[in-house]
Amino acid sequence: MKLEASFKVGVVGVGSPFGADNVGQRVIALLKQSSKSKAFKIEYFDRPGMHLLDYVKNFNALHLVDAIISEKPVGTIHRYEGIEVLQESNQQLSSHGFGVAEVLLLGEALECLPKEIIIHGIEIDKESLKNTISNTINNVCETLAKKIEMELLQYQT
Amino acid sequence: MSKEIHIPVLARVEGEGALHLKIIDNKISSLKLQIYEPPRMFEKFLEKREPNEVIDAVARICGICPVAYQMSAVQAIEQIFEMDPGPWVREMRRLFYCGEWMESHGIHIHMLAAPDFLGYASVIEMAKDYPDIVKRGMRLHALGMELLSLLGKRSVHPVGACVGGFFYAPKLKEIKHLLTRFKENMALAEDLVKWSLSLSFPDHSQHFTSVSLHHPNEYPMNEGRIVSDGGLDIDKNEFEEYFQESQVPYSTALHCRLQGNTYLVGPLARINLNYNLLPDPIKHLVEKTTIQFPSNNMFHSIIARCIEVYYSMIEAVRIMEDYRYPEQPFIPIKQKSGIGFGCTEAPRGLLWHRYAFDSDGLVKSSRIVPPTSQNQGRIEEDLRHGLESYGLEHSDEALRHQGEMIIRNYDPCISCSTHFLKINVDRS
Repeated sequence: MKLEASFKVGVVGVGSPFGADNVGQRVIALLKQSSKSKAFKIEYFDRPGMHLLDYVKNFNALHLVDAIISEKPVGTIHRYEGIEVLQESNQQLSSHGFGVAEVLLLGEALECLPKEIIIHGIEIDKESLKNTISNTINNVCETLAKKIEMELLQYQT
Repeated sequence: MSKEIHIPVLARVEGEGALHLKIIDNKISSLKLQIYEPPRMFEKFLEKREPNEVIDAVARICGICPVAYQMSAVQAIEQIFEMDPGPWVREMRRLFYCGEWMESHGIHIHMLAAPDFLGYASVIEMAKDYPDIVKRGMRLHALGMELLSLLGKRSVHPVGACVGGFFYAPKLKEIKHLLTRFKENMALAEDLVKWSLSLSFPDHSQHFTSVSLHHPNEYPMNEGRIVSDGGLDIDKNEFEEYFQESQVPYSTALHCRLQGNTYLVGPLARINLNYNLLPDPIKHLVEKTTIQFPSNNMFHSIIARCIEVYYSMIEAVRIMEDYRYPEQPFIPIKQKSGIGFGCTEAPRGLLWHRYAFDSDGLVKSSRIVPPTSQNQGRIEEDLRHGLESYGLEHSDEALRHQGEMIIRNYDPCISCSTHFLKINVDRS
C-alpha cells in the first residue's frame, strides 16, 4: 500500500560531520542507500539552527537522528516519542548555543512542529567527539538505520 | 557596602565571556569584561595564503557575519592589486551585505534582545506569548539567508565571493523569484521598525563617541571614509595612525582606542552619523515618535538594528530591480606585492583589515580589527556607568541581569573578537 501523498514523513539527521557526533550523518547515508526509504524525505543537516524549523514544519511526522550523551553505556540506542524528554536548557541562549533541542522547544512554543516526532539517538562517549567514529558506533549506526527503516515502512501498512 | 560579583558565563551573547565586578563602599572599584575564548590565530595562519584562500578562510571567522570579513578582505586585496571590479560587482557586494545585515540583526533582535524588552528570560518563553513577533523575525532572517545563498552559494561560510567579484552570477529568474519574496514581505520590515519604536526604553543616556563609515551618496556598507561625531574624517589607509589596539591581562580579545579614548561602532553609531542618508519611509516612521537620532541611549540600538533590517530590504529590492546578468561576474587577478586596507561595516560595526602581499602573490602579514574588539572599552565604561546608575545595592542576580542587558545592546560577537556572562562580584 502506498503512503498517502498528503502524509509527509521526514527523516533528519543532525550533528557535526566530525568525530562521533557524526552519527546523524552516518545513519542518513545508510538510509539513503536503501530503496525502501525512497518514499520518504531523508536529509542530513550539519547544525541547522533555525533552518530546521523551516524544513520540518510541513511534515506530518518527523524522525530525528542525533548523537546523545547521557549516563547510558556508549552504543545505547535511544528512542523518544515527542520532545518532552528534551530538558529545557538554561535557555540563556546565544545563536551559537542554539542547538537542536532549543530549536525544537522554540518550534513547540510556536506550534509549528509536526504532530508526530520521534527522536532516535546513539549514545556516544563525550571524549570521542574529537575522534573518528569507532567501529562499535558504526555498527550501531547500521542497526539504528534498519530500525528506522522498519518504522518508516509501518506508515505504508 | 562592598562585595565582589563574578558572572562566569554571559547569557544571550554570541560566544563566551564573563564579568568580574569589585564594589567597595558602594562604588565600582574594578570592572573587567573577561573574554576567555581561545585566540583564533587567523592573522597568523593567513600568512603564505593565496588571495582567494584568504577570502575562504576569513569567512570562517564568524558563522553570522562571514560576508563582512570577506568584503573587508577583498577590498584590501584589490587595493594592492589595483583592481576595479566594476559597477556590477559593487552592486552585488552591496546586495550580499544586505543579506548579512538582515540575518545577523534578525537573530540578535528576536533571539537575544527582544526577551529583555518584553520581560522574558529567553526567546522560547517569549515565543509562547508573542509567536507572531518570533515568526516575523524568523521570516526576515530566512530571507537574509536566502540572499546570502544566492550570491554566496551557501549561507553559512559562503564560498561565492572571490577577489575580483563572484564566482557565479545569479540567474535572472533567481533574482526575480527572490525579488518577489522581498516585496511580499516588505511590510514585515516596516512592522519591525514600528514595533521597535513602541518599546519602552530606560533612560540610559551617556556621552560617547560614535565612529562609522560615511559615504556621500548612500548609507554605508562597503565603502566610505571613517568618521566620528568628534570630528574624525580619515581614509581607511590612515586607521593605524588614529586607532591603537592593546592587550589587557584579563581578555584574549584586544582593546582598541581612538586617540586614547573609547568609542562606539555598530548600528547606533552608523545611524547617529548617517541618519540623513536613510530613505524617507524609514525617517517618517521615526519622526512620528519622540525618538531622535543621533541618540546617546544605547538601549536605542535595537531600533537601529530594526531600521537597518528595513533599509536592507529596501536596498535589496532596488538592486534586484535593476539587475542585469553580467558578461563576467569577476575580473581576473593581477597579483602584485604591496600593502592594502579594507574597511566595511559589519553588522556589529567597523571591520578593518590590513594585508601585505609578497612578490609571489602570497600573504606576508595580515591584521584584522573586529568591531567587538573596538567596543570592549566602551562596554566597560557603559557597564560602570549603567550599573552605578541602576544601583549597586541590588542583588547580585539583579546586577547580573542588568549587566547582561547593557552588554547585549552592543551585540558583541565574542568569537570574532578573539581572533557569556559569568559575573564575579567582590564586595568589601
